[in-house]
Amino acid sequence: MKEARIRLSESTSPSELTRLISQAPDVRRIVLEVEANDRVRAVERVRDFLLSNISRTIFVYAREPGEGE
Amino acid sequence: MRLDVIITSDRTMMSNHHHKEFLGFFTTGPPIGMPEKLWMWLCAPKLKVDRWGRPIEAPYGLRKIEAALLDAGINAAIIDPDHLSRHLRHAKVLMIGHHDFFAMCSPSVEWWAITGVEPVNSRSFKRLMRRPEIREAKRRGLRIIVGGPAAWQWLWRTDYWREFGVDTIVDGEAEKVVVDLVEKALNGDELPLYVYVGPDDVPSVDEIPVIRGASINGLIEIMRGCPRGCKFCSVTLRPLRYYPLEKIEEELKVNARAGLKSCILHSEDVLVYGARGLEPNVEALLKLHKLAKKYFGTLAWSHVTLAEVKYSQEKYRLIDKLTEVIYDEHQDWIGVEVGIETGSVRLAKKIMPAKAAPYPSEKWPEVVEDAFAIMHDHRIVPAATLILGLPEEREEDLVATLELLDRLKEYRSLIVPMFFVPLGVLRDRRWFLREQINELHVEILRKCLWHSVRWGEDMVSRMYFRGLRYEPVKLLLRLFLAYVKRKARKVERQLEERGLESAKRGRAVSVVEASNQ
Repeated sequence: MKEARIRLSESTSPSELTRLISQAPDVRRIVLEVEANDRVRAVERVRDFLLSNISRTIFVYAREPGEGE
Repeated sequence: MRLDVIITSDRTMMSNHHHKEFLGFFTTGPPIGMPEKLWMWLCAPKLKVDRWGRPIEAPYGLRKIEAALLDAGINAAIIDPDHLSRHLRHAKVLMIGHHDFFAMCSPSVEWWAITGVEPVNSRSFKRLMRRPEIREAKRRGLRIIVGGPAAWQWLWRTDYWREFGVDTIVDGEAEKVVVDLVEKALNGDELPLYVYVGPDDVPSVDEIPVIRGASINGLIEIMRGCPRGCKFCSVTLRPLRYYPLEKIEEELKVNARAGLKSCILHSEDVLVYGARGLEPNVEALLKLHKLAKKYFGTLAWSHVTLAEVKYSQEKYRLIDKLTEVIYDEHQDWIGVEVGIETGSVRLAKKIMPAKAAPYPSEKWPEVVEDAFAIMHDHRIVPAATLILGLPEEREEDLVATLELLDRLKEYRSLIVPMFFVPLGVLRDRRWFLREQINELHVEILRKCLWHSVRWGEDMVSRMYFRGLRYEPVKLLLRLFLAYVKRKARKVERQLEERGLESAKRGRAVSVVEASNQ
């Protein structure tokens, strides 16, 4: 199963995710690292993307801006 | 007993509802016409527990998670919410499942919108999460993992995600991911915030564990997934898998050993168990029902589809054959949930193109009526749902639904209208809000109410509660139905006198709107 790891920096628009995923239709599992100052804020940033996803497995991790890059 | 992992839920989930599954639906309602404590006694009485606070029966979904963890050698157990304190002193992980954490599913969402009062499921869950012992354990490093069919609600209620200090939300069939998550939590490793389990990561039938303890009211799965692909439903996103009879029997035995006297066969459509496509497998169904009756005096179905009722009876006399197996000295009727959703052919074609199959969608109203007639003749009592506010709904669709309701008047059934909740393929669509209710919606709500009150009274007196021990429950339900009739007549008078708009202004805003603030 093809996996992808994507990091969404604080300055990147979450809508960029949809564009990235559409370029890789064979990816079935996504690890999404989202930069935000607060853990739950990370999910709030990508909520629309999560709501529109039905076919892929997604793990969302919160990252502080600039952490572990 | 020192547990590493506690699995639990609030009282509205952790109850056998007096062994009457239908009473469980009252947990989706607000406590109207009686004090909340009495309402909770009516719909969610406490369960029997062992000396460690482990309930004799527990929700089936939690039993699956418990089994997956125990099979992996993890020290876990389901604990009744009244017995959490002593286990929280040592546990490292708290896992919580629910069908409707924040009353955002139907029908909770419309009871809240119509009455302006928060349903007890949401109140009870919040009370659980605000308990001092959970907050204290959280301060000591307890990790909280939450899941179940309503996990999606947390995406809308991130305020509670923060307040309750939830570490991870798991959305979807969790058996294949839960062991890894819990091991990470026990080892103090980083946890994901949110996990969505896609169709490629759902467990195969062999990977689904057998429950270790009894399930509420003996409910057991016979299959997962649904082949009909209705767009408003999340179950159809997952692949179809049938449990073999041997696996079903193992779970029947677990429940029988715990002393349960009845079982519920769970499927989105019991009548397609073992089917090739939508062609019923008569032999498999007869074997399944004979097997269940070997262990239990009474059985119920969770759901069937109306098209399958009509087709299987007309082609195979299947309903005759199954009721011959089911009915005996212990049982002479059966209850089941069914979905009407709409009376409109136009809308049926758009949102549930395979719901009428093998009949064409053009025949949907006829399929519904014929199936209701078959069920009425066989003493099968459906609790049917309608969806109001479906995307692209027009007035002509609502008129068609009203016409269908007129045709269903004489069939013993409950019909519950539900507001559209964005799930399944439609999960990114707009919610249906009370501000969008028009006169036709009100007329549908009104028709459904009087239909259900009429047949509800009939069932309370003649079928559902037999035996002296149910007299207090019957009395309370009769009083409640009388209260509902009185209130409904009052609202009808207001509507006639003041019109819809002023009646709507007299109520609170919808829960969904409140949740978006």
